[in-house]
This record gives sequence, C-alpha cells and structure tokens, in this order.
Amino acid sequence: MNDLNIFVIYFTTVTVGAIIVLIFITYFFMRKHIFAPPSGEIVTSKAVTVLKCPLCDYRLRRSFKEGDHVGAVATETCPIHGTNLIVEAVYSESEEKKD
Amino acid sequence: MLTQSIAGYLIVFAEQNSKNVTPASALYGYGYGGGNFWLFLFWLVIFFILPFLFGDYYQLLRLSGTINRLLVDLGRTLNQNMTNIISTIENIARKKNIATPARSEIENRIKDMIEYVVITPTQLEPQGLVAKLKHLMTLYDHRLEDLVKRIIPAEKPVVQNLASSIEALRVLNFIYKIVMHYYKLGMKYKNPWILLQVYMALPQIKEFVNALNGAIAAFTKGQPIGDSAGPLTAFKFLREKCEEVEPVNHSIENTYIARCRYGNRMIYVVKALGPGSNTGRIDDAVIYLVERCGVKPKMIITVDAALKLEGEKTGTIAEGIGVAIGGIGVEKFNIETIAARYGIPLYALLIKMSMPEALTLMTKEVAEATGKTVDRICRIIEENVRENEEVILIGVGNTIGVGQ
Repeated sequence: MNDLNIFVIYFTTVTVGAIIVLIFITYFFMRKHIFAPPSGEIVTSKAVTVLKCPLCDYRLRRSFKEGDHVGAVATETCPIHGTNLIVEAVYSESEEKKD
Repeated sequence: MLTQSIAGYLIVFAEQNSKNVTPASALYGYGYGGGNFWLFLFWLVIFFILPFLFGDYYQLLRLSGTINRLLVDLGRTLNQNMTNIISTIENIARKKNIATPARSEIENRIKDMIEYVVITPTQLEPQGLVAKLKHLMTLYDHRLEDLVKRIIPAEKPVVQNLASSIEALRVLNFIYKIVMHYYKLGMKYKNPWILLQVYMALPQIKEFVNALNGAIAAFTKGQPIGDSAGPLTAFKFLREKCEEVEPVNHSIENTYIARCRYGNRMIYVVKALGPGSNTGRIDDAVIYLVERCGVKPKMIITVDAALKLEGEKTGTIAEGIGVAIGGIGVEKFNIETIAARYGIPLYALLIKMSMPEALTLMTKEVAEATGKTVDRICRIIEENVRENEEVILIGVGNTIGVGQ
C-alpha cells in the first residue's frame, strides 16, 4: 500500500468521524429547536380569576382584573340568586394561541 | 497570512523534494516519506504546545463572554423591573390622586432602598439570638414600608405590595453585584477558575432571576404567588368547611385570627392579614392564643408551600409532623418552643412546587392542591381530635392576593 493510499484512508476516516461527531453535537444542542412546536403555536400563560356564588355552585372564569384578590366581592352577579360573586381563586393558566 | 505562508512553504518543500513528495508527507512532515523537521515542529506546536500554553486564556475568553452576556441580561432585567415599579407607583398615584415625587427622585429613592443592608446580630453568644433576629426582621419590615410610604402614602396593602417588589429588586441587584464581583475578579487576575464558579451556577442563577422577575410582576399587580398556598388553604377552610366564623380580637400586627366550629370542634385559624404582601406574625398569634387566651389545642397544624425535588409533581401534598415554616427560623423556633412547653402535637402539610412556581403567580395545579389540602386537614382533625376539643390551624406563607 503506497503512501497516497494511507493518506486517503486516514483523511477519509478522520473526515467521516469528524462529520459524525459534528452531527451528534448539533443534534444534542439543537434538538429543542428542531422539535419545537411550529412557529404558529405560541405557548403563553395568563392570569385567570375564578368567581363563585356564595349561595350556590355557580362559577365564572374570566381574565384577571386589577384589584382582584381571593375573597374580594366582584361586580359580576349570580344569574340564579342575583348576589355578587366572590373571587375564589386567581392563578396562571397556559394557553396555546394559533396565529 | 498564515495560510499563505504555509502554502508557500509547501510549494518550496515540494520543489526541493520533488522525488519524494506525496500529499501526506507534504501535509504531515515526518513519518510520511517527507522527513521535514520544521513542518513536523509546526504541527507539534499547533496541536500540543499551544493548547497547554494558551488553554487558560481560551477558557478565560469563553467564560468571560458567557458571564458578560449574563450580566447584560441581568442589567436589562433590573432596569425593566425598576421602570415597572416606578410606572406602577405613578399609575396608583394618578388613580388615587396622591402626590408623589418626580420620576427621577422616585428612581433615586428606590436605588437607595435596593442598596439597603441588614446586619445580622453577632453569634458569638447564641443566647437570645432568636429574639434579636426577630427584632431585626420586624425593624426591617417597618423601615421598608416607611420608605415606600414616603414615596407614595397609599393604603397598607398597596404599600406592602410595593415594599415586596422593591425587596425582590434588592435581591436581583444583589445577584447582579455578586456576579459582577466574580467577573471583575476573574478578569483582574486572569484566572478562569474564579469565573468557573459563576459559570457552574449559571443555570440556577438564570432560573432564580427569572423567578424574581415573575415575582416583581405578581407583587406589583397584587396577584397571589405559589407561596400563598398556605394562606389560601386557611381561607378555603374558613369559607368552605367552617361554621360560626368569628374573628378574634387582638393587637398582633399583620395577622388574622378567626375562631370557627368544624364538626363540633373549635378551630382557631391563623394566617397573615391579606390581601397585601406579608407573612404576618404567626408565632406571636400562637403564643397569644395559648398563653393569653388559654386555648388548649389538641394539635397545631401548619400548612405551607415547600420546594419540590426535580421529578416530583407540582401540587403533591406531603403530610408529616413538625412546624412547616421556611425563612430564617425565628417563627419556627417560637412555635416549637411553645408546643414543647405545653406538649402540643405538631402536624404539617406541605404543598410541593418548584422555586419559580413559589415566587411567581400561583399555578392552576397549586390552586387545585389547596382544595385537596383542605380535605386532608378535615380528615386529620376528624381522626385525631374529639368533639369539643380545640385545634390551631396555621396557613403559613405570603398572603398576597388572598384576603380573609
């Protein structure tokens, strides 16, 4: 086997090995981006307020408004009893938007 | 330049050794028929000597670049939150028609507040240390609220929420200064090992910074955070399970105590006074109930948010014995002392969540877990306490966004 063949074998082996390592490293670090949801779907979270009638189990969910706190009396009323609803919970909820 | 000189050298080499030259010998020098010592030396320097000589400098360059980016992000986060707090103050002042200083003056005062220091008492003689710590904690809370009141003399919950926002900003500023300190130190001594300490903690620092960022947003809006799980559980127990709810008169600051009846048992519910951001003085409340009011509790139940381990599910409830309170341990010490003195069993319920979840707006999982915790409390009381006996239930944590 002459010197040129040794060089070709050596060079090819190193090159192929380097490409394999490169692909592996790229996959390892970029997999989050590769498998990320399509750009049209954006996952965000928003504050939600849950209101409850003090007399029955009627519940109303709406976006958080300034001044909402658990136990506060809301301006919304119960359609059955007509009483003002009370804030039962305020929490964040993730939602998927489709553009 | 280097490429040209190498190429030129190879051409000369090829001309001189035209009989023996092969691509391998031209490229690698010795061992491939070329026998060129200088080329061999060149590659030896490139691959073996340079990395050892300049490895530290390369590390320094890489680490300093990463930490520098973190510092830029941190600085941006600090500025955004400062602007957010100032805008909140101005909006509140506009809505409530309150006179406030000029924007630049507010900014200067907040800058002074975030540099505020609390010097911990000496631990040379530990006797009375807890009382000293409690005194300092109370003093710090009062001072911070006083400083906020000087900027905007609004009602207490608003002042408390703004004080907590500024407190979170103070922590953020402290992180910035620590990271900057190590960065400058590493660059000053050209030492990558100093930078490596920050680099290793980088993911945790980023996570904590993001959590504080979310905490400031929640505090300025007055929204309940994950840590409010304890007070929310106490609130739900009072509203959903109790009968004959009656507030107990007392003079303990920022604390709400109510007496109610559950299954013919007398329950004393203690929580911080909401909806402003504060954790109350629950140890004082327990001392007041047991020593001043003569309450003889069959058990003290504490409910608190607890940090979960990676892999644990948010909203998992853990039951145990002891006092479930975080912080520096002053309140825990006082409640443990009084429980040991009167032989009162201590029960604890923990609602698991991650650190970002504890500091930012409460998640749906945590909110739902509080309902399950209430059911667990009912079961514990029914199983361990007979009718006409008394129980103290404490909802531990920051009561922001949770009333009573």
